Parts: sequence; structure tokens; C-alpha cells
Amino acid sequence: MKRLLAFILAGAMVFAASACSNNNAAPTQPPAAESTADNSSAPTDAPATSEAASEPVQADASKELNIFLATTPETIDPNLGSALDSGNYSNHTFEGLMRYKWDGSGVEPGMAESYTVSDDGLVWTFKLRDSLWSDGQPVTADDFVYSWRRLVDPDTAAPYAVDMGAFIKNGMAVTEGQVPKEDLGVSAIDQKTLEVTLENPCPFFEQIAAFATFSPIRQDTVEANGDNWTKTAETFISNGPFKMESYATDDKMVIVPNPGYWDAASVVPEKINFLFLSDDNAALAAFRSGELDYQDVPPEEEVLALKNDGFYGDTPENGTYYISFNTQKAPLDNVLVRKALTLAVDTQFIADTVRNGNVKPAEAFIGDGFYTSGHSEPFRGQWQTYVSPSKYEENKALAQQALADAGYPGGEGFPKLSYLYNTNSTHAVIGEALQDMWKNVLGIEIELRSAEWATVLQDRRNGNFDISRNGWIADYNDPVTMLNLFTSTSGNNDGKYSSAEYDAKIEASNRETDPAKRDQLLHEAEDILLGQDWALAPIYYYTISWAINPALKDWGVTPLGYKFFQKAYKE
Amino acid sequence: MLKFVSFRFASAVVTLFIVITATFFLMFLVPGGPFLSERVNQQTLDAMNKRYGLDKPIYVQYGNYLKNLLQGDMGISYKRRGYTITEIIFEKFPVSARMGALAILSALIIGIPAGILAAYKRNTIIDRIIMVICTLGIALPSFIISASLLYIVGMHLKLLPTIGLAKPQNYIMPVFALSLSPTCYIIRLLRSGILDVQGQDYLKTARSKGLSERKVMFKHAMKNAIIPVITYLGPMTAGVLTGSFVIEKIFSIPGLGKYFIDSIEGRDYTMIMGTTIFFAAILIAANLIVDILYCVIDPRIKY
Repeated sequence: MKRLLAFILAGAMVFAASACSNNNAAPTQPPAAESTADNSSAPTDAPATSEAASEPVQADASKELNIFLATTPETIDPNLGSALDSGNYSNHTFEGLMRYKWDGSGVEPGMAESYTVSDDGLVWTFKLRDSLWSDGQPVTADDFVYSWRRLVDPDTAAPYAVDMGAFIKNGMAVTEGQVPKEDLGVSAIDQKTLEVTLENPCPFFEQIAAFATFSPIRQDTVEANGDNWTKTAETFISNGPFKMESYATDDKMVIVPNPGYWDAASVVPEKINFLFLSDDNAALAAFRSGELDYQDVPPEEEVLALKNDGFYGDTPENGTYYISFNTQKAPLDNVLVRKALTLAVDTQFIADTVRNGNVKPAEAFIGDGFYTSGHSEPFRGQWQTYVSPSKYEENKALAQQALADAGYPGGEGFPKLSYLYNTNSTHAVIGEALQDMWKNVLGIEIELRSAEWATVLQDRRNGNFDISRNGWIADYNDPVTMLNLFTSTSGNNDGKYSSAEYDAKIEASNRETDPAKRDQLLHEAEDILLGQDWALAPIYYYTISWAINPALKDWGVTPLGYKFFQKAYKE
Repeated sequence: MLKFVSFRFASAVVTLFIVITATFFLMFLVPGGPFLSERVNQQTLDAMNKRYGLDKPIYVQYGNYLKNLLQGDMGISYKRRGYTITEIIFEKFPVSARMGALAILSALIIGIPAGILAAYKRNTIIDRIIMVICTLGIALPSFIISASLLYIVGMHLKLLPTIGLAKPQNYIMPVFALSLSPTCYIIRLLRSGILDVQGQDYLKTARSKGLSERKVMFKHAMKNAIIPVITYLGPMTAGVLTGSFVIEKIFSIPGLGKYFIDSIEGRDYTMIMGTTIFFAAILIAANLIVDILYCVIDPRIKY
């Protein structure tokens, strides 16, 4: 006991000494910024840093990566996945018709070699490449047909059945049980040709075709093993750059290259260990002790220290942190009240102070990272924004005026409302900041109400709130993934905003085949949502952040939050 | 004795039934559901609830659950698709149990000799040092010990691995953190137990008969002094199991403890029931064993 105490004390001293000398580590380089065209050979002549010199690196250690993205996913079955929970694992083990470019700059043909689109934009014909499953069998068009039907089958009960299935003709009808799954608009013309019929013309269907839920699935393994097919390397047959070596919940998933993959030559890592940790601080300890090369979303309070040590990086994410107003409830049913509440928020302060400058204050609902329908330029572009964080003084005056016009000059007679958020230190501080701003600028009292996540979800969905924290990350890089939230039929329209004018714009954009006209419709929809109806208060655009071993090179991240390591290595 | 055991067993079954019923209805009172998420729209949500029978009235679900439970079927996890509850418990509990057993074992191996030593060297410097460490060990919550160890030994000295249980040395920090408080408690209980019996007549008699001090100690004094320690074994087992929730999280150990909390946060109803029933059964069994141990050690205790 005594010796142990002495040991711990000695440890504390050594730590104190080492903490001082830790600050001169080399600064991190932005990922994906320098893409090496030739990735067949990992550089060996890089000058050894002092840190590398103290830890001898084995020959193949540079190609074994230890990555922490999140805790054990609910599933690694691509059909059953929902976005980021399982998407990153599916993107490494499976590949759809299209694939995300590894550096995050868009999509490119994956399992499809080429494709043609009919004039009305409804029929997409994909020509498949020669590529093999991890058990050596060829990938066929039937594998896609089986997978897509399974996705929308009501028996599968897939979380993304409607969101993704609805793009395909009859997708929604199959999920709702109105027509059999064989009526889904997908068919195999022959072993290497897949014909997809869409419900509406969709100028960004290349992106949808890259979405993990649309990966091909092997019917034989699913039918032979049922839900157990994802549990072992023998039954988890995949067609992507990697195949499973082992899988253990709460522990890790180990993947190794799939030799039959059509682009296997470009796969660099020999092994990736995706660790499933359940605590961000524990993960950070593992990162600091060198057991992890990459950690997704390090704890907010550690960001500054990581920055100083050169281990931190971030990039804008296509998503917006916003506030929902319950538009069915007085006085929030009054547009002037919503306008006042929105303009009274100092988003610059929240971004700079609460989020330590790691996020960008939002000027609109659609962030800067979204593309136009033609994919070539930013959707935001020169189009107007709705809240200008730099003109807060003017905004304050406008907010006070709006509240007075609504019949509550100086906040007089304004009922006490509550602000709902899920328990979390960042959300709590933002809530307190909002409470303070609304009191100081508008003279109104807002009560803070926090609850754990599942309760907040239920309360928000049931309309059991006045004002609530909210947020949305894009599923695909098109503004409609955000704007769809506010149609009157959307299940995620928590504030129950309902505007026939807005619905009509979105509906028209779904049918529009001309990219420029479609963009115009989406802009007009956003103008109604924010500039006219103030259905929500945008706070900031999300950021994707990470802690990284500076030696890790050639990995990629997309604005949707997907991470790619198929070309990554450690110097 | 047999009558006592069978009575206790029957009451254990009743207790368990009450636990099951109360948990079942309480968990449905909490808002939310297993499939509700930001990403799921209403049509899908309804379809999923229907597929898993969550659209039925709660008493029907309760009846179905009891019926399946009697057949040994705890159902499937709503959150971890493709896994049954029994599968998860049988996969994860051995990890928690191994760590818990090591912690209990080291608490006894260190605690008992140290307690005797402290009692026999009472008011010396050795006794004082042991007592100071014990006070600290009891007062400091295990998560502070764990976090400090993780921070100093794992993160900065890099002496021991911080995640998982892949190698034997992975066990050192979590087992130490888990066993520190029970060890200290055993030391204190044993020390005061020995000091209490020291002055008693039967020990004077034993000494006056000319028995060696060692024989007095182990044959006579210990029998009474150890009873508080045995009483403590039941709650200690409970403490080690519940304490491991936090420690498993901090050291990223793939045990059952995290499911106890995660299942509630995720409204994984079947998992909530599974972990509750499982841990309740263990606690009831631990207390039953302690009661039986009394009889074995002290024949004066009769039920």
C-alpha cells in the first residue's frame, strides 16, 4: 500500500514534468489536403520525430490502424443501418452502385461501371463491374434487387425504409404494405445490368445510390443465418474494399482487405481495428496513451489541449443546430414572436464562447457545404441569408420591434415559456445563454427544462414543448434533405410548422427536372421557412471534429460525416 | 436448516416476481421507446413497433413476457438487432464476473491479513498507516480512483493499457479500483472485530489454559471477529457488481454492467428486464449464501 502510494505520487510528478514538454509536438496537417496520387508505397524516408524515435515501429504497424468512431453500432447490416451509426462500417465493408470518393469530394461509380438516365430522369440503368464478394463469388444485379426489396419490406422493419425507399418507385407503397415488394422499381435486366425506376426525377440520385442502405446483400447468407449473419467473419459476406476478420460487441470490429474487390489494388491498410468504446473520455485516454490513431468527436473540454498538442482537426459538416418553436401553441403561433426570439439570439457569441470558436454561426438553415442540383457549386452561393451574426445590434432592435408589434412591448404580458433540451453540458450552457439573451433583449422569462434523450425525443415528437433544442445532419448532400423536415407531413417536423405554400414549393422541386429551376424552388422554400415564417431559429452549422495521430495520412472525411480509411497509413 | 433454505427460496421467488412486475410497468411509464430516434419517421416507427409487438396493450405484453420468461425465453434485444437477451447475458456476464471475482479475491487476500496485522500492531505506526489508507480507500469513490489511475498510469506514464481486457495486465487497474474500497472495509471490520473480542472472558480462559497466541487468534478470536466480515460479503458482492458499471465504462471493458444503464437510456425493454432479473437473482442468491454461511461458522446462530 505504502509503495503503491509512493508510486502514484511519483507518477504524478513525472506527469507534471512531462506535461510541460508535451506542447512542442508537431502541428497536425489537414487531412485529405495533400492527396498522393501514388499510394502504392508508404513513404519511408520521412524524418523521424522525437516521438516516433522513442517508440520503435514494426514493419507492418504503419498499415494497421486503430480507429475509434463510436460505441458498438445497433447493427452492421447495411439495410438496417441508419446513417452514421453504421454507415462508416458499411462504407468500408460494402459498396453500392456509386461510392463516396475517399477524400470526401463527392461520389463516383462504385460497383457500377457506368450508368444512363432516361430523358424524363426516372429510369436509371446501371452497368455493373466485375467484382467479387469476400467469399469469391461475383457481384450480380440480383444481389442489388434482393437487398433493395429487403430494405423496403415491412417485415424487415428497417429504420431507413421510408426515407431511402421513397426514392424508388413504389418504395413507400411496399413499406406501407399496399403492394408486394416485387413491385419495387428495381429489376435485373441481366447479371450485370440493373434498372432502377424512380418515384420522382432525382438529380442527386448518384448520391443516393452511394448510401449504405442501398448496398447489395447476399440472399444466401441472410436466409441461411437470419439475423446472425452479421456476427461472424464466415457469414458476413461483403463486397466492399474490406471484409470482416472478427467482430465482438463492446470490443471491436477488425477488417482486412477483400482481395476480390475490383479496386483492391488501391486499398492501403492491411488491417483496421474499429474499436467500440462507450465513453469519450476513456477513448481520449486511449488516444493519449497511443492505443488509438483516430478518435471521432473528442470531448469538448479537451479540444483546446488537443489543439495545443497538434492532435486536433475539424471541418464543416452539412448540418444545423437550431431551435424548434411549437408553432401550434400561443404565443409561438405568431410569426412576429418567432422572429423576435430568433433575432434576439447572439449566435456569434454562442459559437465563439460556448463552442470555443469551433463552429460557424448559422445565417440560414441550409449550410455552406451543400451543393446545387448541378453539383458544381455551393447552394448557398450569392443567395440571401436571413440572420446576420455580425449585425447583432441591428438584429436586437428588429427583435424588440417585432415583439412590440406582436403586442408584447418590452416583454410585457408575455407568458412564461420553457426551453427543452436533452441533458448535456453543451446544450445546457447554450440554454442558459439563450435564456439570458431573451431576458436582456426582449425582457421575457424562459424556463429551462432538461430531460434525457429518449424523453426529449418523445416530447418533441408529441409537441409537448414550447421551444426546444434541435439539430439535423444531412443524409445526402442536397438541400432537400434539410428542407424536407418542415413539410407538413414530415415526422420530424417537431414544431408542427404547416404551410401550404412551402409544401407546394418542395413538391414542385421534387418534380422539377431542370437543375437551375429546382434550385430556385428550394431557395424560395427556404425564404418562406426563414425570411417569411421564422419557423425555426438557426444557431450554428455543425462541425466534424477529431483527435488524430499526426502520423496518420491520406484518410478522408465527407461533409456528411463519413470517414474513409481505405487509403490511410501511418508515416 | 432445510426448512429455512426452502422458505428463503420461496421468498426469493416472490421477491423476483415483484421486481419483474414493478420494473415492467415502470419502464413503460417512462416516455420514449426503443425505436424512436431522430432519424426514424412515423410510418417506419409504427411498422417497427408492430413487428415487435409493442403496439399491443401493455397487459397483453406483460402476459406474453411472463409466459416466455417461464419457458426461459427473455426475448430479443430491440437495440442490438440480431441478439437475444440470454445470448448477450451469457456473452457479457463472464467478463464482469471474472473481474468481480478477482476483485473479491484480492479484497479477501489483502484485507484479512492486513486487518489482523492492524489489530495486533494497534496504535503503532503500521496500524496508523493502514488506517489512513483505509479511510481514503473507503472515502474515495471508485470512479475517482479509476479516472486517476487511467490518467496517470495509463495516459501519461503509459505503463498499463487503458482499454479492454485483452492482456493480463489489462486487469490490474480495473481490479484495483474495484477492490480498493471492499479491501479497506474488510480491514476495518476485521480490526475492530478482533479488538472487540480481545478483552472477552473466553479468550482469557483460552490464554490461561496456556494456548499459544496463534491458536487463540485463529481458533477462538477469529470465529467471532470474522462474522461482521461475512455479513459484509453479501453487500460487497452487490457493491462489486454495481460498482463495476462505472469501472467497466471507464476502462472500456466489454462486460454486462454497461447494459444495465444503456438499456434504460435506449428503452431496450427486454434488455432492461433481462439485466434487472439477472442482477436481482444474483443479489438474492448472494444474501442467501451469506445466511447459510453464518450457520456453518457459528453454530449458535439458528434459524
